[in-house]
Amino acid sequence: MSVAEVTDLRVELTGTGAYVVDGINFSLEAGEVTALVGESGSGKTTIGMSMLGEARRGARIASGSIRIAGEDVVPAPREGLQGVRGRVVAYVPQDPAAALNPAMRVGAQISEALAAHGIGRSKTARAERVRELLTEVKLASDDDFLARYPHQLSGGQQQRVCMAIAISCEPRVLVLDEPTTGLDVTTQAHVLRTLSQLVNARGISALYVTHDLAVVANLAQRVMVLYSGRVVESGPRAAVFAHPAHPYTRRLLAAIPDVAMRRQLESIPGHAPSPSERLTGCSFRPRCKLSVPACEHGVPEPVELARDHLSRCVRAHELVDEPAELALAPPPATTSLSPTILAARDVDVHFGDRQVLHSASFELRVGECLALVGESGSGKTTLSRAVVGLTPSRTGEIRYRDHVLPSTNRNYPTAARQAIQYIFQSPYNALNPRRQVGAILGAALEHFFDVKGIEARKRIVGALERVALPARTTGMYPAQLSGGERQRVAIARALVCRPEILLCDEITSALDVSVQASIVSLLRELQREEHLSLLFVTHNIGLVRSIADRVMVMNQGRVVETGASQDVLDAPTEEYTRTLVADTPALRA
Amino acid sequence: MTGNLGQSLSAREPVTRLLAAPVLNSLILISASAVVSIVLAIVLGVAAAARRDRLFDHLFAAFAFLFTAVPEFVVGLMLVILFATTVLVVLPAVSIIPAGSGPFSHLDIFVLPVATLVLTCVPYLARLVRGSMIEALESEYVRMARFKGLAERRILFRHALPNALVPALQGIAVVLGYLAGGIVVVEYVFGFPGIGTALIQAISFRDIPVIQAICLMLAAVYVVVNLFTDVLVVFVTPRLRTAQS
Amino acid sequence: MSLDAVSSSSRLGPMRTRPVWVQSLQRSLRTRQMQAGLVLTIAIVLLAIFGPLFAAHSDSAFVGIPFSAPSGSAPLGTDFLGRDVLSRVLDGGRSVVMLSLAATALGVALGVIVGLLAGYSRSVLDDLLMGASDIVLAFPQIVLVLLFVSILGPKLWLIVLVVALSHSPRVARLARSVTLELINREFVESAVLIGIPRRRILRQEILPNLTTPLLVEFGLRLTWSIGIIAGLSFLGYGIQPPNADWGLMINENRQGLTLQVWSVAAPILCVFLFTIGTNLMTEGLSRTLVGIDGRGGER
Repeated sequence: MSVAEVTDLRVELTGTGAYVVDGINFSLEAGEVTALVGESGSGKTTIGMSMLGEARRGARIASGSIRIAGEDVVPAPREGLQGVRGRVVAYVPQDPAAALNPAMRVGAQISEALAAHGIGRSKTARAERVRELLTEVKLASDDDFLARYPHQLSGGQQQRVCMAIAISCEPRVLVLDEPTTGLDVTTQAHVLRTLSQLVNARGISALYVTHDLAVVANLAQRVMVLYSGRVVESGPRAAVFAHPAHPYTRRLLAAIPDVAMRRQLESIPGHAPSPSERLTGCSFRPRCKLSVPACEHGVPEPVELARDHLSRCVRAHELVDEPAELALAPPPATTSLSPTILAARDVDVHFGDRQVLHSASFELRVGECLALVGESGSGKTTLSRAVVGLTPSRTGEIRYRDHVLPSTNRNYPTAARQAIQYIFQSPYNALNPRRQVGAILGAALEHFFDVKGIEARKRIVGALERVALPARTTGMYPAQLSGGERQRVAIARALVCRPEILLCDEITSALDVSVQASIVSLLRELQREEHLSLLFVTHNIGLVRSIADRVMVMNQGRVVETGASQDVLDAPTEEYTRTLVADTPALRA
Repeated sequence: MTGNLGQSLSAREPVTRLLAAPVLNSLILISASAVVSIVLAIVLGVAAAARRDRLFDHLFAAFAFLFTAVPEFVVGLMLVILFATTVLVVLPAVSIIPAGSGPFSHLDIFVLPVATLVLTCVPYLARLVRGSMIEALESEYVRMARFKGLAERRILFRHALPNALVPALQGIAVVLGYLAGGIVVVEYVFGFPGIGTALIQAISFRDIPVIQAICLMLAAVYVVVNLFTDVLVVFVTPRLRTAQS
Repeated sequence: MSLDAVSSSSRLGPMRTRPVWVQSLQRSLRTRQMQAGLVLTIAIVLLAIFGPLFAAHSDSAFVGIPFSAPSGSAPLGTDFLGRDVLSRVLDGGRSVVMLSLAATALGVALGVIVGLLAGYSRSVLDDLLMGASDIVLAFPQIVLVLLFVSILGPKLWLIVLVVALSHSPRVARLARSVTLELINREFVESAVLIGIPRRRILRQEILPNLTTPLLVEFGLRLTWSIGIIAGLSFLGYGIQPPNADWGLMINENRQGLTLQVWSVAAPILCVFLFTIGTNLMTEGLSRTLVGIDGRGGER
């Protein structure tokens, strides 16, 4: 007997009536984690919210039913959802920093949930219960902790508080909406471990909403893959990972970097349709290499391939027997003999009284990709910003070819300004929203080469072509582009400067995996064909494997370990690196 | 600074004595207007935010953006036409305090001036409250509170309101600063015996010491109000309050 | 190689390449507030500019006994001296419309320059400019204007200049806070990194992001200007008698309010409708205001 039963759920936009998710059927079993995987816009959060009877502004739950532990959530019960929420089904948010009330003490935020559902007769009884809950999620339970405000906690602690709130009223179902997105890998590993224990010990069923297949591989018993508002494949974890039977699942698996092997990341061309632009037939059809004429006729019905293993693909039976092919990346470039183009020696950076970088050193050789990897606060971004003179105070030596670079950008020689191009993390902030792409690229061109008019346009179009954007992009504003496209424009802006070094600061962290894959292969291509040297800053160790020739691990402002990426990841010599690698979820668990 | 504001040129008596009564009258006028405006703005703003996009909210919006920044003398004289001279004749059109009696024995003279100032302040302030309440109500922590199964009333007053307070406080500071100027025109409209009327008289007599004194007081209102607001903002924001420790 | 770009432009249909603030204006024209506001404002502005052509009497001609009720020759009655109220209403709008537009334009321009400089310099200049504007802010706008005009005399250029000055610190604060928010954005950093001169960064990267908030600010400031300038002549420091002016008329005729309500109500209605018109336009504009991140504006 399932704990939760979702039948024919449909959520649609109130304006147009187009569906956000449709035909959703699944059940949750006690003590199991079911993963709901999808890229942005797939509708995964919408389904997660529906489990609590909620639809975001501008959307509504149009039809279907959700029953949890014998109680209706959808359609909403007559006496309202208030009694169901928290008690029968609870929610763990994506961003705990935003989900905890900044003006309320932690203890009060937990105990008010108890009070709302009449748990604990007195204040003291509830306080006692709050302490138990905090212990259960492995937090301190003293008065001092209860009296803290959310901003006084770390990200991991905040998420644990949210988990304590969620389990406080002993719900039967837990909806977790990308609960570890903002967390470092080590923290993520701890939180996930706690979650598994809670699910096991209490027999809770968890719906784990995520974009991260690697986390799923280590946590979930069952997996549902969502594409453009429909579950395209679902089944036991082992079946879905070993015998993916939907082309989208297969492509998704091929796009994900893996800490365990040096994979060639393959992107999925095109983009997922929004609710208003879906075609008839299979929504994945336009992006599918395997599509056949039959795909155009009607939405494919789920095909049962094995017990519980369903795929909405007309060719599912052919695919399930074909092993997922995962290409390996070409071996790393051997650049040990190449000259050094950029070197840092004993770089210290202070922010006020606080030292954030302790004598960091590295060498970047011509034509190689050096990954700078570390968790938040490791100093990796500070080091990369120090290279371009964006840190307030810096000592030590940074050298580009023959130039010893001054400590602040203001005095940089033009040669260095041109040769070292910095690409920023957020594709949303990196481009001026009020300028057209052509003007954005043109400004750099005019500045360095004093080129205008037809010659400028030629070069701009050339750079855009280089990053696989059509010439007409020049007339567009950033808001008209997707995240991946904006990041391409940012790369094109760097390219028109004719750089030698690209400094990439977490440039794929805001992107979907399939888009990330395409950016990574673009960078690889540029590195090879334009002989660029790459300094690739990232927190994603899996990605290091796929892109970097050498890696430098940083922790708390210090360089921990440097070496060929294969060596460092396979046989880390430092304890810190070992934990980091071990805590990173691998695809093949 | 000695605290001595000098001698009035036209009345030939010390400025402090000349202005004592007007300052008291104006203080009453400002405080009454401020209290009524703030209470009304918070009630209206919260109510509109809680009933977002429903009839009440639409009526509120229509009222608010019609009356934002309509000049005080226009509002004041419209009220006079409506309630004192032409349509209804129920309230005094001018605010005269007979010699020898205090302002508290003639409360009816305050009604129209206060109403005028309230009508010019409330639209701005209430919209601000509504806006910051809506922002709070759309936040992740309010969604989380709903998902805990809390009652809507608790969500409104315990979760949303405290977080909507900071913009409201800053708005209140702006309104108080604005009131300091608003009274000048409103007092002139009603012939109200306060520092606004005194200022306009002093200007027409070129009575520099009186002008100086009044301007100093008005600027002081601004400085004190802003200082006080900054402190209050820190006090109601845990993140700022706990910053030192 | 991904080609997500190709599909995304087809998603958007034909390309729109007009500047963002123009798009904002176009969208706002579709709101009811903007339409109503525009109609009202244009009506009042036309009345003010072309009204004198239709006035039956000169603004100083005596057509009857003071405060006489509406009649055939004076449809809105006569004023405290026996002049035709309608003719004076038709004559009396030009100054308030012109002066408030000029003062607002000047004040916003001044404020933008100060705000941009202060926000971008983040140095002694910032402290200096903000300190100066704090002093201006400490005096209520109407008091500040009143002081200058009463001392230096009710000259029109002076009124424009002082009202503009009293607006500029308020505009400057807005411009400064937007600038401060922008200069730490990565697109500005990226311009700094390649060494683009500061002046060009201000002009090319920051100013275009200010246009939409400034449009709204202009609307708001215009409403305030109308109030201040009409208020100034109401207090007797604007247009001088015997000329016709709405603010002045309201004051001149208010002792006869019980006898002849139209001599006061008509100019009041004009000022009221004018401010409501500009208010509605501002509202319509801010509804479609696209924030810095392309998000929708005010809720």
